[in-house]
Amino acid sequence: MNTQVLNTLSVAPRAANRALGAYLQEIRCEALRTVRNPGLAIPVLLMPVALYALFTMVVTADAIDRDPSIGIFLFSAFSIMGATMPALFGIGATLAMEREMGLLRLKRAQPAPVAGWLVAKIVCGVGFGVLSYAPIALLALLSGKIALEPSQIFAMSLVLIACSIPFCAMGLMVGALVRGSAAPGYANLFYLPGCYLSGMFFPLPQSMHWQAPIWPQFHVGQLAMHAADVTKFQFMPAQMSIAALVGFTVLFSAIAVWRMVSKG
Amino acid sequence: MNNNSPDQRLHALDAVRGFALLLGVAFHAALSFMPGWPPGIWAMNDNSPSQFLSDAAFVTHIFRMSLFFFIAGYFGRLLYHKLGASAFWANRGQRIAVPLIAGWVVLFPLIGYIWITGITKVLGGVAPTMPEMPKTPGAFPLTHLWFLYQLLLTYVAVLAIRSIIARLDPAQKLRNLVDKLVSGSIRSLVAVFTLGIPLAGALMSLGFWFYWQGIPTPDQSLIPQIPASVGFGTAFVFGWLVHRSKESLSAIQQRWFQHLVLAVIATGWLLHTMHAQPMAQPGLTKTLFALVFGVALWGWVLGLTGAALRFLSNYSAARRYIADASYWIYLAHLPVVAGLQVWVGHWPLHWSMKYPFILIASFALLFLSYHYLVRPTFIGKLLNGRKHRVWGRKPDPAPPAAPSPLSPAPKTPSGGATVAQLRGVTKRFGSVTALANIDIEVRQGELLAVLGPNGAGKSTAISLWLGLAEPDAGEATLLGGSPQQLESRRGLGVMMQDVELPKELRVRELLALAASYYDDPLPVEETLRRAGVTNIADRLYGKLSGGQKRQAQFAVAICGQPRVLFLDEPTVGLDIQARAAMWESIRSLLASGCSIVLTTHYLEEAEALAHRVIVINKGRVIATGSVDEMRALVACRQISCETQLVAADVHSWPGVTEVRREQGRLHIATTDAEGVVRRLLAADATLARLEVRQAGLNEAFNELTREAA
Repeated sequence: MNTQVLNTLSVAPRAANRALGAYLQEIRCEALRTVRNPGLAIPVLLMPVALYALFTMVVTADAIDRDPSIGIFLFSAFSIMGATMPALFGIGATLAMEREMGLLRLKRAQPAPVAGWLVAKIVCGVGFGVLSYAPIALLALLSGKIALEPSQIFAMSLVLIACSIPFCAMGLMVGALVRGSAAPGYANLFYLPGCYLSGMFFPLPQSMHWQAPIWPQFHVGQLAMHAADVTKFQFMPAQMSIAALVGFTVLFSAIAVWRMVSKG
Repeated sequence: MNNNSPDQRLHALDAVRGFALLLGVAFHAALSFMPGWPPGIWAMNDNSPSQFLSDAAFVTHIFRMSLFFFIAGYFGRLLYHKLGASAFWANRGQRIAVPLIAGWVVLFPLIGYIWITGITKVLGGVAPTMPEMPKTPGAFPLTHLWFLYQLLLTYVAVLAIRSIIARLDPAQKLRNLVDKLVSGSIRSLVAVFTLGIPLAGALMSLGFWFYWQGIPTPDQSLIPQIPASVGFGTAFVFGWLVHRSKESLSAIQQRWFQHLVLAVIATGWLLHTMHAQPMAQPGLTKTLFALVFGVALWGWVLGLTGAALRFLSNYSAARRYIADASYWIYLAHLPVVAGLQVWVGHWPLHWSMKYPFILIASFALLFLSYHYLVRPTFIGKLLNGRKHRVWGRKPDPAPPAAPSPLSPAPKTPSGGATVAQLRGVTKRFGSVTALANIDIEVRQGELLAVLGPNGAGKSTAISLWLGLAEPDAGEATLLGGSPQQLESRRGLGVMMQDVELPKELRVRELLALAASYYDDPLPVEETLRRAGVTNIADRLYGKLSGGQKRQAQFAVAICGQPRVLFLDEPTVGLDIQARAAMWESIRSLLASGCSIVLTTHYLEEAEALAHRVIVINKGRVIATGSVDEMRALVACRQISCETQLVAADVHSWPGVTEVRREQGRLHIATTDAEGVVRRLLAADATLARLEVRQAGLNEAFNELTREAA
């Protein structure tokens, strides 16, 4: 009798479509939050394309006409920025804020799917990367400031979008290490040195080449150049760069998991 | 500290075993891409070799079979003690020996055919000469099923040793010492550095050791091979000992990260060394390689097991399905994988396209074959011990396998079953004991008010029920299962203190999100109505007042039609009307059979709503009962009057516990109301507006917590 009572209390397993529904709701809410947070959305979505327009149309317009490889170089630099910044800043800032306001604690208590929030953050990080990168690609194609075939740009685009994943992991790490509004500052601390020291924005002097591979941006750039088959800017085999990015992703994720397990 | 129930631990270990087997499929799928392998070693030599896959295959090959044998040792002892010797052998015969023999008979011709086809293709259409078996005693092509043969041999050896030790050590002194050594060596990281030493000795003695192969696979002979027997035997025995020693699993769980870090460092060194010199030469490097190989192997085995215990202890229907399927998949995979490798071997594509294709196609075929040909048939019963329906509607997911020690459910005096319980629970944070051997139960349909001063342990108790923390000792249960299990938590609703919901979302969106977590949630409009928040449904959470935020959080808590609702200070910041409305919602939830755990500082709230009250102080339950019983616990009554008497004088009278003067009236708390009234009237002829009343929950609470302090 009592066992029967208990059986009615135990909870039945869940239909797969409801589980999928929970993931979709999680993604929808994460996307709405990003869109409704102009402090985050505007700089991250508009800055890369605005800077790309400024540099290619105004600052280096003549130089690109003389040497088309400069156009490819700049396109790669701002595309990397566009594809990776939303992942890092979006995830880092929201996760840090959520930890501060106890939201993750609530989600752990609720029957939310374990990976729901993480999947939502990664999907939105990658998705906003696409939104930020697409206008740069469009502008490059329309303005003719890039000497690549559309198919090369397409291959490059796929690689760039995939390469936002390590920056999702970096965002998780930043969000797990710091709390609240300090996160964007710390994210910059991780991100900006890599932009300059990886040789992404300007060619590095020979003496600094040794350190470029320690920055994830360098490997993203290398993979983009392999995908587009631009041999002039290939400095490292694609397999090494894939391995390095996988390594960075594992390292950042491990630090994030360790931190969140030990500190919550 | 780990306090997962044994069943939860088994979910994690099942997952690890399944992972080790599926990793084997990925390993074999990579073998056609090995750079520099001469034709004939594998079924195919792909035209796009990959150093990356070679390295990845080496890394997985370091530990995957040792991991399998480690888990096999753990489950081996569990099974042996559960079934006894004869039933154990019958079971192993059915699950291991029959698949070995039947599998070999079916698979060997298939594998042979695919190998010949593949090698012919590699050699440009010239059929290879049939390889001859080495003319040594016991030579036999066991194929990838060698691990079943090795496992059977290991069972025989370990049970023989066990019976000898049982005779030599009847008082279990030696074995108790070993138990301590096992858990201590894991915790101190000694195990990861020492367990590989016997294997290293066996590897160093090999005259011909190609580093990449790790432990040479014993698939060519029925005679036990020394390195494999030592390596996999150590793993099996250690798994067996971990099952013996109660503390070991929690030690493995605690040290997961350290073990994985050691594994990564050791593996990095192995890769580096192997790239410089792939074949072992006698000397220091070979010795070092063998020793570091042991560290990497045990780092991965203990690290992955620990990580699974840490993160995968919950029951998951998907993981359970994959774990069930993994045995069949590993047994059947080789012809499928090799066939696909042969098929795609000459396609003009990069390995990074072909390898994922082989992997995805193999898993798709193998999972489909499992789902339709194995799971619902006698093969599934043979391999996994039970048959399932194809779509597994009915008996399939049976979360905690063993009956919970809680069942049958204890009944309340009023007949309600227990829906949540803390039993003998102790929880410490550093040197502070937040809960000390506490017992609390919540019954179906009741509202239990948990009261106590700040820092008494109320929040800790709730966090155990919510699965946010695990007890250091004792057991927390929710709806018949562990609060750590998602299935149990699907029956709860929660409103926490100090939690802010995302300010960019509208109340309606927050409710839709929370409702998606539940199986049978209320429609959003109905939730809005019941929580009295229809008027703010389309406002952003960040724009709401403090009270409105609490109302929105209450709506989130009730949207899933919970069977147990945890409300932590729900009415803080609410105006009188909103509070009355929330009380009304709470009452209707109770009427519908929902159980509620309420913590509040407003004692009148507990007085108005609670069926039972429990008072906690300094981590202990100091009183429990109905509101009336609690009031009766305190013999004290309240007298108030207008009088000229001095408070300090009255305080010195016998039976007076507390006196205070407020707005011209004297309020006296006393255990002897009649005596004090007589004395008051005698002492002050002008005394007016005399009132005597029974103590309220407020006084009871003050009295109880003061006594306990």
